[in-house]
Amino acid sequence: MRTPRTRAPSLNDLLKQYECGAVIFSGDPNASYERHLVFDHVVVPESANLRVRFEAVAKSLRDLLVQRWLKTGETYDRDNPKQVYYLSMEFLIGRSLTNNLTNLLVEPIARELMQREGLDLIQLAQQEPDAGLGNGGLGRLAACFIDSLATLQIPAMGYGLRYNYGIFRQEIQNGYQVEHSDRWLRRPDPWEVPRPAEAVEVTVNATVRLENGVETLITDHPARLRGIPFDRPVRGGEFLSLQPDGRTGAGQPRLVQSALALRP
Amino acid sequence: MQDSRGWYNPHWHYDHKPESRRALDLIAANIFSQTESGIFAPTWDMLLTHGDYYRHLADLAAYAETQEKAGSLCTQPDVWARKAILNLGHSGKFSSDRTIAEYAADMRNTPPTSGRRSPAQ
Repeated sequence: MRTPRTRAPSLNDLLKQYECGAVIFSGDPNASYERHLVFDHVVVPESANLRVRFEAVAKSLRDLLVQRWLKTGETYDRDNPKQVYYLSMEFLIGRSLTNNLTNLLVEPIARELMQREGLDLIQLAQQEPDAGLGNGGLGRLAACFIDSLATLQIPAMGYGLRYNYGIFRQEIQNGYQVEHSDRWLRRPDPWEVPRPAEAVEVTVNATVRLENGVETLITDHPARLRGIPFDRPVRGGEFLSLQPDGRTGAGQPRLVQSALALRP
Repeated sequence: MQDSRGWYNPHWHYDHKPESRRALDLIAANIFSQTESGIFAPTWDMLLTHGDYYRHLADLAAYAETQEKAGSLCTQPDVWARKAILNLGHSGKFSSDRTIAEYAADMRNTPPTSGRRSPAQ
């Protein structure tokens, strides 16, 4: 007789469920973390700095996500369900490392890795900048809604803009706000997946010219805008039950951002 | 101050309530704008001259009292934690899971991709 599962499954069950095959998360030269460390960054593991280690952990987590993500796509293709498209100028999602660790239920694996490598999880998490995709309350609401859509396994996709320089970084000088660019993409973001092959060009009948630090809009001077989609998986919470049949992708809507780059 | 909009008069508060008078006098005396005299004059005007649609002065004493209470609670971590947890525990209705489940079921007609039931159903 089957008894309903009331507590979290073992890590081995989890990894099997995520279809990671023979690849283990870390603790072996051929494990996901060690391979990302060495082959993505071409460094001797012992000499890797904290940022590089963060990227390797994040990439290993993304590997776990990818398997479920593709399953989600397969489910959508097969069932052709009605889908939600959530358009927002902002998605204030913050940092993704801790979110994904928690929602994939693999925090114990990460803790084990931290202990072996003598790392501190909080310090590692701090290597990730807040995503510069949102700033305010409505941006946070959009992020919560995407999280909930994922958690409830409602087929959905969020669309927004991938701000190269974030919204802005605030500084107070003499009691007044001074805005700086937020260079959150200065180092590669481990979560996003660029899709240059799906780029779209839009022609607009205006050009922006930058002269002496001043932007002027020149009308009747066509310019082409090139939008490159970047995909970003959002993993829902799985606190109550897990679907061991792998039939659905356990709710991972794609959060797609279009980067608009001006092409003269 | 529920139904005071008809008769609310900020000047009455200025004349009869010491805390209102003191607050407005501090603004007028540029205590909060020592290097930029007069930048809060529009605030002063809004509160007093233009009648103040939101009737701030009527709430000032209660606001200060509550702030005082929060200040003393802050020095008792156990009591503070208890209140914080209770507040959080009562905020379930505001969960975005509930909102999304209702939107999906009542407005968008977008069922989940698996048989798992969403909390609001």
